[in-house]
Amino acid sequence: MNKFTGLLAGALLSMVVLAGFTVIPPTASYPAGDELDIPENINAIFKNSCYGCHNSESKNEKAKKKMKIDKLAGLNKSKLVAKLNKIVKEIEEGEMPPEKFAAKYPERVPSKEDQQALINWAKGEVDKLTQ
Amino acid sequence: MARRILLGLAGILLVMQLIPAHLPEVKTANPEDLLANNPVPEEIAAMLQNTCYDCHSNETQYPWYAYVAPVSFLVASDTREGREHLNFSAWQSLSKADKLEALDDIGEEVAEGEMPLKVYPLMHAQARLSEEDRQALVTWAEEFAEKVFEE
Repeated sequence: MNKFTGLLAGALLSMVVLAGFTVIPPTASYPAGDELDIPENINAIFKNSCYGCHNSESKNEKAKKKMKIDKLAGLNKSKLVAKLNKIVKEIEEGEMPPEKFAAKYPERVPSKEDQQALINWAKGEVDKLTQ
Repeated sequence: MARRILLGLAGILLVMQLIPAHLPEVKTANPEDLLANNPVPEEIAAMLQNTCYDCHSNETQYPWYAYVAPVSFLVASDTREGREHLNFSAWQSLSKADKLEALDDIGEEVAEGEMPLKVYPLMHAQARLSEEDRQALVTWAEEFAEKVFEE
């Protein structure tokens, strides 16, 4: 093995390793905007549990109509409050994620702690917007 | 044979009348009512009353067949669920966020034809909304949301 093939092999190997870590597609980022602050832990829950159906490119038309997480920050304040309040309700009442999704991807159902974190975050944002 | 079957069905229907349907109670005095406390344009108020208020308020006007099983079971469950989701009679008691969420839902569900429920206009001619009616309701919900937000 000469120097060149060694380098090539090294580069390929590191690409494979890096690819293994980047499981989140690069499109899954949410512009937070002035009105909405989405901290990293909340972002992670969205990515893992919600974004798959609730994004503006989603093939799940119903989910897309009800909530597009990537478009939250672009909403006017009154709509934003409505959607954040909806998040609180759906999680509190155990409506989301839906049963079918939970049965198929149990590992994507947020833990009790994560659900509470999401609820607290959404409530906090509502309070900031409506005070 | 056919006579026996008919008699049997009639018997089942009769016995069914003994099962209570528990129609949600009608209350006419509602101090927290949306329309009693907010300036809502007349044609919008009429639409809300004609197409929504039977299930989404305490002022349900039950038709005679609402007292006849098995229709009574359906009317009771639709009315109960409707009031649970949104009760215009209790509008003033909602938080600002709940009001805004309700108005957002109204706009979405009326625009998408999810509300009123398909079965309702079959029996209530005054609840058949044209495209213009739906658009007027959607526009009102958006404008009213802005007012609620500024309150």
